[in-house]
Amino acid sequence: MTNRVLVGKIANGVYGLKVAKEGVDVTTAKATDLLFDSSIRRYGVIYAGGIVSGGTTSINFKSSKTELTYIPLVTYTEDNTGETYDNASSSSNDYDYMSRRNFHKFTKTTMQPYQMYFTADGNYGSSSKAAIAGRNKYTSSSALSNLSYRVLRIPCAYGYMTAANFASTGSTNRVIIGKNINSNHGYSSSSPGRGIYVSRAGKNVLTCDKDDLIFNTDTGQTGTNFVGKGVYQAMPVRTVNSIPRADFDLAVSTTTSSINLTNFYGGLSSTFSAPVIAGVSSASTIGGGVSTTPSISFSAGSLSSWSTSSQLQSLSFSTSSGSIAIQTAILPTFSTATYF
Amino acid sequence: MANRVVLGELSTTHGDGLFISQHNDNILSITKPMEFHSKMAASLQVFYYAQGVINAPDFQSSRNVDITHNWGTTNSHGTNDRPLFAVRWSYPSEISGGLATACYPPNYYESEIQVTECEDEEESGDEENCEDFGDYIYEGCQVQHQSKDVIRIFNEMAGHSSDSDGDTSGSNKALYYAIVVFYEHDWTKGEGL
Repeated sequence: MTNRVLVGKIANGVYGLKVAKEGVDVTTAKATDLLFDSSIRRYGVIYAGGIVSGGTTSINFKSSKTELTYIPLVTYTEDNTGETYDNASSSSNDYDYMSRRNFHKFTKTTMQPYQMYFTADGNYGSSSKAAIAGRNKYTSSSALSNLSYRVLRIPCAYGYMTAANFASTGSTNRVIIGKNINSNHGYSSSSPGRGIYVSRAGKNVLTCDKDDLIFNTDTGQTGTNFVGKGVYQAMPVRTVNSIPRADFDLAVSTTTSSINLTNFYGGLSSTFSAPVIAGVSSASTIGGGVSTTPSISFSAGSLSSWSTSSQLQSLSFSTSSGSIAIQTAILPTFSTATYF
Repeated sequence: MANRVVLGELSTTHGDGLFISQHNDNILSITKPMEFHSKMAASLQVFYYAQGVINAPDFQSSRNVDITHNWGTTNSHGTNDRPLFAVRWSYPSEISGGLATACYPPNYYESEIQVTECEDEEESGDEENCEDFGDYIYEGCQVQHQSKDVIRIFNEMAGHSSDSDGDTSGSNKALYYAIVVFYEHDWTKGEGL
């Protein structure tokens, strides 16, 4: 059996928590073979998330929570991805091209479906912006459909990529396993949290702010006491050198192609046993050339029957026309709530 | 209170490691996916971060900057490996006090209006003489892996130009960017999260 978890002294003079990927010895693991390492700068703690079927209205992911001090990284998927050059009748241009249909605007508190459009005439000036709200300047194949998003406690916008937000240093208490009475996390002696809590380097887990936690156990807190709901995780679909990997490439055509998913949630109810696809991407990412991108159709509900012993399920992909290479990962269906 | 955390062997199905169930879900008999499951293949751990400004590009062109994160060399990855990353960009007008007030994922945009201008036959004294002119707008940001250690960010904000005068009319713009690189391999085909 391999050593998987290390709590306490993880290096000379360094104390914390490490969790290695399956089959990897945590005492000798490379950083890329760890699922969690308390020495890293920021971690994918989920601050908010949800599912939106359609529309163009702004999504207030902050709601009643404490506002973040930065614009966070929002990861998301939606049905329509890739480039488009099919403008709608509402466009005044002869030609519009956008390399990314699944386009959004992010602020500290919101995200909103956006598009890029501006009438190509002499009215475009130094303060003009082509990024505008909505998806109506292109055909319906660019409309928002089945948005699944997760807001992470990771800054990702100009001005916030600073040492203060990422790279604090210093020796202090970093890990709580058991009872947490830190009032900044919404707890007290009479109403403690219980679980595992890890602070960022240089931040004392006993007194730090909730945004300084890179690992948290959610105890159902709401409002300004809310910290996070779990962490961003992707499921195994293959191994490389006997180590699980989440990323995969697949050549997809009208003939079904499949991958083998290790679905350790396959025994749960149908609500949670089917995973979600982490942003199937078929987009060209450079050059802006005009090409035809086939729409990709897949159904998480078409998973093959689950094997109790191996936990494997086959997940199938196909295109409606043409063929293309996709690259993606699979996430568990952590929540089906419209908002959390 | 539900049992929430197992450190060690959870079951033959889930194996060994660290396991944390969701609020009010018993880790010994879960009904929902876990907050943390040691059999996961990937999480999101920040390896590298940076921000910067790319000056306004010239007429109908882009300008770029290379971000040397050294993910491949630092972590001993192969030549063809690429890291998972996220890039966000902002317009100059969305920077206040040195901080972005809004940002966007990479997206390149171009638009065109074609105008046909014809000389009257009376003026030219010949057959109708027509010529097509285009007005264009270029905007946005693109990103591309250059190697296992370098990501290139393109400022595509060339702004407005015209076949008739080629003038950008001072509408080209600087681009403010932020980038995060993760320890994981890229599963976005170079688009980024």
